Amino acid sequence: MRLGMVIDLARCVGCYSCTLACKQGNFLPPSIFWNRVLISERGKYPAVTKLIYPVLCNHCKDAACVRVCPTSATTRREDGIVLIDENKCVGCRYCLIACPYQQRYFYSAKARDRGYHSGQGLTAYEKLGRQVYPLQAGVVMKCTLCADRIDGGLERGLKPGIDREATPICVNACPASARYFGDLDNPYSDVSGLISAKKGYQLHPEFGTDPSVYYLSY
Amino acid sequence: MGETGRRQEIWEDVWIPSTCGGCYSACAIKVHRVNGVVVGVEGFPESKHGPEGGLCGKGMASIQILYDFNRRNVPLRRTNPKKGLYEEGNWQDISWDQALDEIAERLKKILAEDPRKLLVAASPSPNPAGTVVMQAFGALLGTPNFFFGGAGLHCGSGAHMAAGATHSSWSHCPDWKYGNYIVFFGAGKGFGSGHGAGIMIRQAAEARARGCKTVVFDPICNFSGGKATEWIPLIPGTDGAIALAMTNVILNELNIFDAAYIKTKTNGPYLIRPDMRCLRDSETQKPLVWDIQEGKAKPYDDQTIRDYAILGKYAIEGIDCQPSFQLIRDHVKKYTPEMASEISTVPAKTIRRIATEFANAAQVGSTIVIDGKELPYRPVSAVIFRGGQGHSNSLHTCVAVDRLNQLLGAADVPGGCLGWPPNVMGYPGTGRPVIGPSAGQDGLLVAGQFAFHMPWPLEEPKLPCEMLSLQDLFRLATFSPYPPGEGREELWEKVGIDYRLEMMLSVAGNLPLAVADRDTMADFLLQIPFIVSTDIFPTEFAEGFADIVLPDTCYLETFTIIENVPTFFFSHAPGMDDWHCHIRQPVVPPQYERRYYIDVLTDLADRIGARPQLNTFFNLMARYDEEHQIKIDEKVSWNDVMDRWLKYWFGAEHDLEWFKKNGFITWKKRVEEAYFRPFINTRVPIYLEYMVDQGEKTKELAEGVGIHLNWDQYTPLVDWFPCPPHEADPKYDLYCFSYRDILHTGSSNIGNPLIDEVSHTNPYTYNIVINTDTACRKGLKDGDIIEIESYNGQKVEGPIKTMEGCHPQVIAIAGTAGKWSKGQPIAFGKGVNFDTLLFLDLEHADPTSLNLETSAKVRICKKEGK
Repeated sequence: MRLGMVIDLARCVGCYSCTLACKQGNFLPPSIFWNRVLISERGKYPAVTKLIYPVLCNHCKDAACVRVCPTSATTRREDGIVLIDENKCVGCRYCLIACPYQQRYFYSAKARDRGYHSGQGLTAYEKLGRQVYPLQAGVVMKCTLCADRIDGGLERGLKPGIDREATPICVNACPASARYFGDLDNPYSDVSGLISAKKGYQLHPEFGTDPSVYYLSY
Repeated sequence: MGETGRRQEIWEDVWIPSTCGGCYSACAIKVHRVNGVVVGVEGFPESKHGPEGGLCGKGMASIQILYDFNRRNVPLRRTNPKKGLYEEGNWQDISWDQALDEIAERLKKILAEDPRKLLVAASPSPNPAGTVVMQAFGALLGTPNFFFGGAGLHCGSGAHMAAGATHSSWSHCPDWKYGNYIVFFGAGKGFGSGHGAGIMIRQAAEARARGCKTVVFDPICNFSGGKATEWIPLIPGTDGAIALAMTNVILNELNIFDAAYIKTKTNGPYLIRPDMRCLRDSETQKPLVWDIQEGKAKPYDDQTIRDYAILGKYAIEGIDCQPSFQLIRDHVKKYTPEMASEISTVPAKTIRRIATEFANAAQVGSTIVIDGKELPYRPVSAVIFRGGQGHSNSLHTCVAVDRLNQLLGAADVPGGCLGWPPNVMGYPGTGRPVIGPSAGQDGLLVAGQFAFHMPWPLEEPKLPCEMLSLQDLFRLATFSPYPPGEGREELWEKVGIDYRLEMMLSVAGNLPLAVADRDTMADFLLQIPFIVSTDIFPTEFAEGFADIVLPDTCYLETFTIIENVPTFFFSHAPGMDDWHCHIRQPVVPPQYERRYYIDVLTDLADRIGARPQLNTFFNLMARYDEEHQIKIDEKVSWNDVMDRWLKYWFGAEHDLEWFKKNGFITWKKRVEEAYFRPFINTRVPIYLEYMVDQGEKTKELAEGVGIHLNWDQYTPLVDWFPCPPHEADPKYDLYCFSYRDILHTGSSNIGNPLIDEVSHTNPYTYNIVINTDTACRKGLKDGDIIEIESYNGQKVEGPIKTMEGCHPQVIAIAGTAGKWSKGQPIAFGKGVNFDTLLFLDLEHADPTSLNLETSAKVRICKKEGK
């Protein structure tokens, strides 16, 4: 099994729902994004194309971060999800430099106490997040593909990418249904079907890391 | 901490069905509450009242409103008398009783003297129905004075009037399911703004995925332009010229039109006299048409007519007449693509090509079978909204664009341009409610319902005016720049208004920030002795001008259904998506002393003895028959009203408790509801005969009291008229306009810390967008701070971001930003305030619809040292 994602750029409208659902669902502190939307343009006036690329950790098959981690904190699971063991991470940030897609963030101890309302304290939402879903400071963090949702869902016999409770938050959140999730190793999965039918591509294949996130062009 | 540890700490983990308050679309949501705290939100996978499980970014982030430290929590009274722009105010906490007693006392005095001295005001975010509720409540108290805030003036005096008269709807949109070729004129449908925002995102994404083409006329290639099959830049305010040139190409070069539709569904066959009025039957006064088979003129609804003439010239009793379609066809000949190109800068060959593609894609004559019914199939639509319509040629432009659909028969049929389903045939269990378009005077379409004024039939212009907005003189106006507009005192003297405002009751809305020239607005607000502002957050309006501030609940603390009943006029899915009626319910009890504004109105009504008026309003909303009406003196609460309303429409078993638990009720939409046009015998005015009468009367009355406007716009043959920015002093060398950013709902969510954080990651949101070459020519680069000086004299400044996808003669600003309220520290100073660059007066409004000109002419210079 190799869990992966397909993002259909014909559907995506660049509304940042993925970014915000991820931030809220994971109680991410200020300045940390596990999901982003990159906006730019290509061409000269008036032959212009606006570019909207939602990006996240690519959960690469041959991940640079896994290779460089000196403490083996970053590993790739059998289902393809690349995870950081926060108890093993020493915060050296080698992975942060090594990731060619710039998808890793260092969560400092200072940032832990900082809320969204500068000087006004933490909101009830922020307090609950820190209490019930604590993120360890002093380590590197990134998208987990909502591994806890997937694992919890599988325990209950649910199917990732099909059952919402076993599917990453950003996939559920997309109002344009631009995100698909499933097993890239299964040729009959939705994601495999879309990649072959619509010529799905990986970002910067020249980096040689074989990402598990594919894009369908518009 | 492991999973086990987490579970031990979690004593509550529930999802509550409700509706979103991120904008006025009220999409269906499920809200996640853990240990009494709202921690997340999702769309509603089982409902098509939204993105079917997903939710847009601003909806997603909007749960942060609940815990925002900057919320209004208690009623406040101003303690320092000084008011004005940039004033912060000193405030004292007061009890609800103190606040409402004081308001009631003043209100009773005013209502006894002259109710017109009361101005009610509202804006659709965060309470979508607030505008309707406030306007109706004010009207029942006896005041005709209502002001719609920035959203109204900017988004639709022309668009609403035009869509009401043609689609029986508040606006129009594409049939994304069956459409193949869609042309947008400054519309963001499908990009998280405007009506049914979430529904449109979902439907538009499906359409793009199956290959539907979209062509977008827009000065910038940002949201709808950015995802278009083809983005075509133009000068703001020139959309109408392009639409008319397309009409010319289609009718005169390609000779394509839907003759059957024009004959039976429009006033195209109506015979027009040389004086531009309809030739009418001398007895019945019905418009006459020419029966080709019998070779004689007959009333339009004569059952013996076998074929209508829409072309040719006819002499009837010595009067030379032509079917209006013939007149239109001849009239548009002057709008050559070359002429429209000079006006708009769009190449003539592009206009010609788009017109040709559009007409061919319409497949005139084709049919489709849906649910066993064979219907016309016209998979094209031309759609206009906020951008294209926001000019002083608004009404003509909107009609010119929508008429492209009408001429090809692509209106309210599968694939065509649709209204927000305006034909409601009732929940199957009860047959309620029933509301829909019908044929009225001259056989023309009468909207089943319409907010603020009926687009047809029209009322007579009259003097003296009752309304400070002058809408008794300008009957085509849905909204007006008045009362706050420049020169109001002089105008009110002229139109015979013999009273002045003494009180303003406002729910939401941020007038000094979000309408136009802030000095003019401030001057107006300072004239009102007593202002009450109900809002969620501190605003520039409340800080600077309110006497009493009342804390509103946010959507997560609110019980309501108005926005989601099937009669609400812009939140239901167009096309064949099923009907859904959702409830909005508190996910947590209202925090502090916040109260929902309808509960407050109820309380206030009782304090001033206006219970009969309030109950009349409730009865009107629920459309009760006599047996079910709330008695006029019955002390019902808002929850009681909703309970009775739901049971009346959906059966006794579907009471408020049932809705609280289940969230929504759904039933299948009928083909006749989704596509009403073939089923209801009404006609659309493609020829605006009403302009002749309205123009003559309004002009005579207005000129008689010394009001001079460009009356040429009162013409029945649709035209393009230049706007003030097109004719401004050339020293102002750039056009400036604002656009709706996908993450922002007016100015209502710019203080949301998550929205703010993500906005910083967007290259354009907080910056002034300028074409790359234009910037280079002016020696500017990304990040430079520029000063923008408007032709109205106002100045704003901010950093620039260059963009290839921006018309070289245009700069663009995301609205509505540039806040200065001290009570919203996150929003403070973010972005640039565009609105103040606009004039707020009659000279910069559409003389017919009174729509304000929402582009400005400006010049820019670099702020050295910044």
